[in-house]
Amino acid sequence: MEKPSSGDPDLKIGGVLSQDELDALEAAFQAAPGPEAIAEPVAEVAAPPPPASAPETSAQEPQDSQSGSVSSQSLRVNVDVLENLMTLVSELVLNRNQLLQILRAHSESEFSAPLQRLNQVVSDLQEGVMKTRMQPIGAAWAKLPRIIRDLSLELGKKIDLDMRGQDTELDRQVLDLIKDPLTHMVRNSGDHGIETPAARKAAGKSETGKIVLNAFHEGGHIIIQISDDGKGLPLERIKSKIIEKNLASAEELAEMSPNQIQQFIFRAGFSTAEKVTSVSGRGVGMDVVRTNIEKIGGSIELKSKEGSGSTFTIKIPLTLAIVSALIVESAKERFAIPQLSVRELVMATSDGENRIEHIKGTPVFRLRNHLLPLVSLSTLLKIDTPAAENTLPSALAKHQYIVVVQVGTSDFGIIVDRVYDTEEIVVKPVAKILRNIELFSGNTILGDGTVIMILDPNGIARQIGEVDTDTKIDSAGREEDVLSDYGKKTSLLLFSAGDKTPKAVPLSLVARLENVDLTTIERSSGQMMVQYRGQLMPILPLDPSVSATGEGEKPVLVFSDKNNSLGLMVDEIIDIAEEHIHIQLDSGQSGVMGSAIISGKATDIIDVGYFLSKAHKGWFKDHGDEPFSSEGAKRNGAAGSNGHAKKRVLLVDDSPFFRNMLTPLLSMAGYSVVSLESALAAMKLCDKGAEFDIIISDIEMPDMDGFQFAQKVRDNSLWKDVPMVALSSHATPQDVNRGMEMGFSGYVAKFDRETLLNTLSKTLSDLHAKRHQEGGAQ
Amino acid sequence: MDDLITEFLTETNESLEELDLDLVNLEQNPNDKGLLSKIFRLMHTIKGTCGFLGLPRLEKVAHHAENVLGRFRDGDLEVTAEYVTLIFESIDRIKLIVRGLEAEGKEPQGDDSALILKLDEVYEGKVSAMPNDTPTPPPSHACPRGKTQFRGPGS
Amino acid sequence: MSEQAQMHVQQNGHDPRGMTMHGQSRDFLTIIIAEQRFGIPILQVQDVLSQQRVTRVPLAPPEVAGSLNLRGRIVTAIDVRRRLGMEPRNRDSTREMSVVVEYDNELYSLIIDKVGDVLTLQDDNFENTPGALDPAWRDISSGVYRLDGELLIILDVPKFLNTVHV
Repeated sequence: MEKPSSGDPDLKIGGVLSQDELDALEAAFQAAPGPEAIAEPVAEVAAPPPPASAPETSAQEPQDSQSGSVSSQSLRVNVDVLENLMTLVSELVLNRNQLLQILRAHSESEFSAPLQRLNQVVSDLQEGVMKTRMQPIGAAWAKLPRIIRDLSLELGKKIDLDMRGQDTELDRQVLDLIKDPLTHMVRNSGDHGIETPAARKAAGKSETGKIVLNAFHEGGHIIIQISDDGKGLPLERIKSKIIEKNLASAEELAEMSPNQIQQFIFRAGFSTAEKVTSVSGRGVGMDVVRTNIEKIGGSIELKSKEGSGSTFTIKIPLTLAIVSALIVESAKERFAIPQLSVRELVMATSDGENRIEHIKGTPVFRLRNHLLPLVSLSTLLKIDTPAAENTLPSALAKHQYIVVVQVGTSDFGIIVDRVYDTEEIVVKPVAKILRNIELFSGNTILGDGTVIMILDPNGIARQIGEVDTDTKIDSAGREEDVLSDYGKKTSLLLFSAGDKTPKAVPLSLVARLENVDLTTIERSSGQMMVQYRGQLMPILPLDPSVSATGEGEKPVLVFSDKNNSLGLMVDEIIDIAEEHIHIQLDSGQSGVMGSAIISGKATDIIDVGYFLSKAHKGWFKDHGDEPFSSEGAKRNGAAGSNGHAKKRVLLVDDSPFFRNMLTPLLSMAGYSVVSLESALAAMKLCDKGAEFDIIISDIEMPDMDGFQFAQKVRDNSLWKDVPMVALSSHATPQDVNRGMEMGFSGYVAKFDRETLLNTLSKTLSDLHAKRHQEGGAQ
Repeated sequence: MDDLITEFLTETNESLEELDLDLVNLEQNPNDKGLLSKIFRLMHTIKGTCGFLGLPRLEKVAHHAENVLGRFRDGDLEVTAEYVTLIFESIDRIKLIVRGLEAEGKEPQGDDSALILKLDEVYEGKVSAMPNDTPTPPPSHACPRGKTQFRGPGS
Repeated sequence: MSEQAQMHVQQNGHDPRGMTMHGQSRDFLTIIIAEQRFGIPILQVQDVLSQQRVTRVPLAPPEVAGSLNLRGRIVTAIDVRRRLGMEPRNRDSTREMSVVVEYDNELYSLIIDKVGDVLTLQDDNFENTPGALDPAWRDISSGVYRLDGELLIILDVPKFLNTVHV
């Protein structure tokens, strides 16, 4: 029996009911049925979106505008026919790829020209057929006005639904998959977002709430926004729910920004509705919505402000059927990675700068001062050859490739053995028996006829995110994530040295880990040194009791500045931990910043700044009789440019960790540092008339953020001419632009000490030069 | 399934979706004559086709709903939220029957008399406003055999 | 085979027992796994393949030998011996063969030891799966035919593949 709705069952979201199949049908056939066409089995009419789906247009629609002229332009085609056509084109694309592959081996072939033409035609054909699959997103929205209407009546609310961009087209398969999540979210907005007229009035809003749906194209994606001017996400309720569900501790929550807390609604099993209403309380949470969107390579972001509403932004690829993919090899097997999520490729060598470092078996890679978590594809897929497992990772291969992929906003690297070309691949769903392997999003046939599996970066992120549940949140809290690492977990390197108390240092400060052969250590005036990369590197025992005599090797944490390195010798590397750290500041012990509970144990957090200054004072005394501060200043041009007076730096950062990390660093570089925990405190200091040469400010801070702070400073305060440098974990060009607009003269990553110092000195010397010039002109 | 029926289902599903939208619009613009006659015609078409194809249950619901829509169109019945809700109820019932038809190839059994009574009362002007105490019969009434797996109206 | 019977197979293909009508005969492809002969209703057989290049699928259930490309369709290869918990085949002695079947709109290639003849068997000779049969085989069979001195176990493809899924 032919069911018209049974288009392609494999492509539907799991657990869809029969009604949804009907919806697929409804969506698949756009309608403007004239009454006379109904009883006519053959002539089917008209494809453009029903004008009636736009509330504002339907009213203007002339009474009898159906079919008529439209029918001569459009034909209705059965979805099955289109699907079949698509399959054929897919086959054609595969064959084309195959032919091209053969052609590559024969550069001077007479088939070359016709094949190139064929290639072009197939590409055009593919595009054409893809177009026939495109449908306006309005098809997925058609039910919404009725839903909102019923909802308004049921809940006694006044809701305006404004749908924009419903002509925006996307692949019907994608459309099918997002229809339910969209409906669910709009329901949510009406149910939980929009308040009752009375409540709105009391809040000073108009009685009628507004839900705006907007769709538009951006690159190879379609962006769908769902926003309401309702009450926003209730932060306190979310917090208590998080604690109740044991998703995070109260302490952890205290460290998080509102946005980060709101992201918890995407967690499995989380539902904020106080009571299950007939409308949105149907056991489907935002986690399901998110999963469904991620399943098709999309992402979802949330911004909400309590009292003024929420906006969800969904980003999904236009089509799923044919994608560009990077072909990689691991353990002699090839895999495809969708190009959309590949950010860059890095070649890692077995030695030297670009090597993969292993810390207790966890591979990491330093990519432009950003610590990139790595996962080996062969380990992930358990296709390690036994021989490889036994070899030391560093000695494994001459070079390996790191495919840097982005999921949401988190990046990670996938280690592969080889990288081939990118290929246009036809995504085919995996067999049911393999469907529960979440690392694969499909499979495909390559140009040479081989079947290969398509890796799902989302699935991989989830898999490796099991340890680091934060990844999930971060990927949605894009803006948050970019602007701040406040409240985020910090990767800590745990080690032991001297006594039993475990010690830790932020992994991001560690340049590399070395095992130093104790016999190679040279001693000069009580200072230990090793030859390291063509230079002498001072070595300090982290604790006096760490013995550096005898034979064998000892682990050394290497910290590096531009020309200077320092090795801290420890007894044993214990682990890498990802934690929200709450440091109990404790100045009792030199070299220890304080302590924190890590993995259930009291752990000393090492003050790297202390050791850096200690080592380099000694270092320069012995080798040039010059204090480090002036050397550092000269190198960075900081203090030297304006006599011998130290430049005064104001550091504003709400995180004690970073204040404690940066203050010694800056002092070491020859600056006089005042650090404050908030922009408000800084403004107070400003009012008191304190003077500084430069201000360094964190961006994400409670009460007054860095942008607001800059605006305030620039707004005719005493410091309006003082240069400001923004600090952030990593910055997008937009952030930098915004920072510049607000009056920052520099934008620096938090861990990038070198750039920070350079920016400081450059900013100061520019300023000096400018003043000098102005002075000269007068 | 009969080609004619398949065709009918496709068309009707579209019409029903359109009706949903049009009715929401009508509620907001109760005096839009064009919209009114379009809604009337859509319902009329469903009724007519059902008669032609021998689908008595559908035809009956559509017929009685059309009556009420006729009074809207003629301007002697005000378009109120209650009446629109009643029309929505009828549309939901039609959807329910259509789904059954789609699944089983024939109209599912069920009792629409309560709904039809309400429609008639409005049509004949027996009620000035919709009585709120006559709830829509739940879908289980509509399919007493419990074989079909439809969702309730409005789902 | 008559057209009527063919219709029947298509509609009830998942339950060959439903077709045991008097006087009817059916065709079976015989396959050999560990010396035991099995029959697969011929209408369910899409293809018979010799050894193929199979792509390993990491993390797949052990009985999944991999995926292969059959004229542009992706086929999941199932190692029948593994599935039945038998010793792996002695690679040197026989070149493995595969029988391609379709189940639930997907193609599976069942890797077996050998493919035998096609037999036309009278439905009268069909018996339900005897209780004494090895449980491993009983679970995947829809019945047996008694041939002279030998039992032909009818492989119930859906049963076989369904249990793979569990």
